[in-house]
Amino acid sequence: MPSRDEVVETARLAGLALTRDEVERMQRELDGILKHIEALRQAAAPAAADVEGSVDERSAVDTAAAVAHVDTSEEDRPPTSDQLAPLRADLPRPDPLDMPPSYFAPEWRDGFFTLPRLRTHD
Amino acid sequence: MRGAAHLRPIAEIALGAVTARDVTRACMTAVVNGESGPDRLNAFISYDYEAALAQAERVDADVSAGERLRLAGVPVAIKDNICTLGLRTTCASRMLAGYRSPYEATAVRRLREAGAVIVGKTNLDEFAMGSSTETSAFGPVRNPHDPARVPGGSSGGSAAAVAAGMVPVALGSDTGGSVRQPAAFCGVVGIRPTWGRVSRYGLVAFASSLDQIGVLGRSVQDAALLLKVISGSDPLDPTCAGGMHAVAPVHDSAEELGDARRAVIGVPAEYFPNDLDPGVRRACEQALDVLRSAGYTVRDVSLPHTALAVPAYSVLASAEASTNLARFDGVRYGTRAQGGELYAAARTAAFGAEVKRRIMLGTFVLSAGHHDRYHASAQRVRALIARDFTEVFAAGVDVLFTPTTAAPAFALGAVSDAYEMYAADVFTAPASLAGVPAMSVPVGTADGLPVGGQLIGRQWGERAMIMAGARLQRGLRE
Repeated sequence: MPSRDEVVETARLAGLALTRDEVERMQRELDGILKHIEALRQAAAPAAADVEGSVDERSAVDTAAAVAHVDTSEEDRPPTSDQLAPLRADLPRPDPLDMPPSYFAPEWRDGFFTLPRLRTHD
Repeated sequence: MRGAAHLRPIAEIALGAVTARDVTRACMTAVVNGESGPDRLNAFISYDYEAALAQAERVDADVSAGERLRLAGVPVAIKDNICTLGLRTTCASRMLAGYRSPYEATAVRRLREAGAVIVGKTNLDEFAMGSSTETSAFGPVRNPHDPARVPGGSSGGSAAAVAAGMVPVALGSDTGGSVRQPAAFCGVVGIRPTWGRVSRYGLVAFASSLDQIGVLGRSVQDAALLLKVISGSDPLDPTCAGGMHAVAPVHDSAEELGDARRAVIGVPAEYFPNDLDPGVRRACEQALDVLRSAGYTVRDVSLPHTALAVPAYSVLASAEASTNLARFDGVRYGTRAQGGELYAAARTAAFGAEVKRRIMLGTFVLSAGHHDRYHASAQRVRALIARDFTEVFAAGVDVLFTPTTAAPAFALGAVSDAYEMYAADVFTAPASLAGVPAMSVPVGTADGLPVGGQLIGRQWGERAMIMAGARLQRGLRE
């Protein structure tokens, strides 16, 4: 079952404000749905091996490209997305864009950006 | 109702034996009557009698001036997640309760330019997320065949309006089955085209890699003609490719339909499980006999990954929905709430329970630490499901035939478990994931309720699919 913290964080990412009761209900509902979806992981794992003879994790684009070229020789296959644009590891990391407002302005005072006064306002 | 001016074949309406004004007046009278009183179906969210008549008068003037319009005077209802000018576009949500679009969808513009009269906006599951049209913020829709039952969803309003004889044809949208399943439950024809056949410009996005505008009608010919008019490439939608060059003949005479010698109908075993409703099985087997009599060779085939379609669809559609619905924040458009953090307050107050559930599921499966396990896996399985169809068609099958649904329409309020509702799309989700065209044709009844048979074509193979549907329709009438 997704933890309470996972549900609260997911709601924050989704822009939804859930009450305590709603968090608990959402935990149960998501758990019920995710149980049915677990079968996907098992089915997807042999598919990667089936397509290219490798058990490495492969992107969906690679798999789709591979099944579309099932009759094509090795030399004719287009480059895979891993070769063109490698995926990063699926791990949480700090957002490089998450910078404070003061980073963007030379002067920052009392919660406001300070700017040169316009001549028209003299 | 039979014989009413607005319920003739739409190709005949367009020939102009009756003025557009008289056809529209007959249609709007049926709409007002059907939507009034305690027995109302609630198929429409909005309609405008005077505006519809004004459109019809313009069509009559254009025809009198010598213009030839393929759909002159044909009344059409539009699902309320497709943008129109004048009438609101609410998506059956409090979030867009008062929203008037500044532009109209390409599909709607093409209908108007062909002389069709847009009569109203039909009810749907909120943001097209559902299989029963019970989640609308404007109340559920009733099935015309049994008002205690659902019409199916999410295009339940469009299907009910056509089935009840309020309009001859309607637009819907189909993401995982939302045109075909209500068509089956209401006993009408519903077509989901190849993904990319019809422009999605002006269709409020639910799951962009799955959404398609589809058509509903009282006959294969009516639905196919409507599809032909709205299809075709559109510079406003770069994912939209080519139009349809052929359509089912206007009349279903034996000469026009010809025979189907050397054409092969594939029947996938996975769509006829042991627990299939006996009435649905009987009706589908009768339909296969009709197709054999029409000259088709019927062959048993397999689509081995069919059982994974609902889990894969649940993940992928929810993931795309969580992204597409992020724009509704109560600032640019949408309901603005008081108190709390602005975006969260607006979204929490305005979205219904099912929409919130799917946004949560979609956000969860896309989040760091869960993406590979759920979303990436679903993408791989989607490729497997698509390959199942590619291999069957490559092996010589022209069109597949399956039940559209595992059972007829269920009672209002009968399904409360979320995944059980998702499973209502068990036979329709696979074609959506593969991007191939599919249609539902009425093939009989089970305990007095309509049963739909689904025909599935190869990518861009609408012609063979529609011809099979027309032959099936004719054979069942004989």
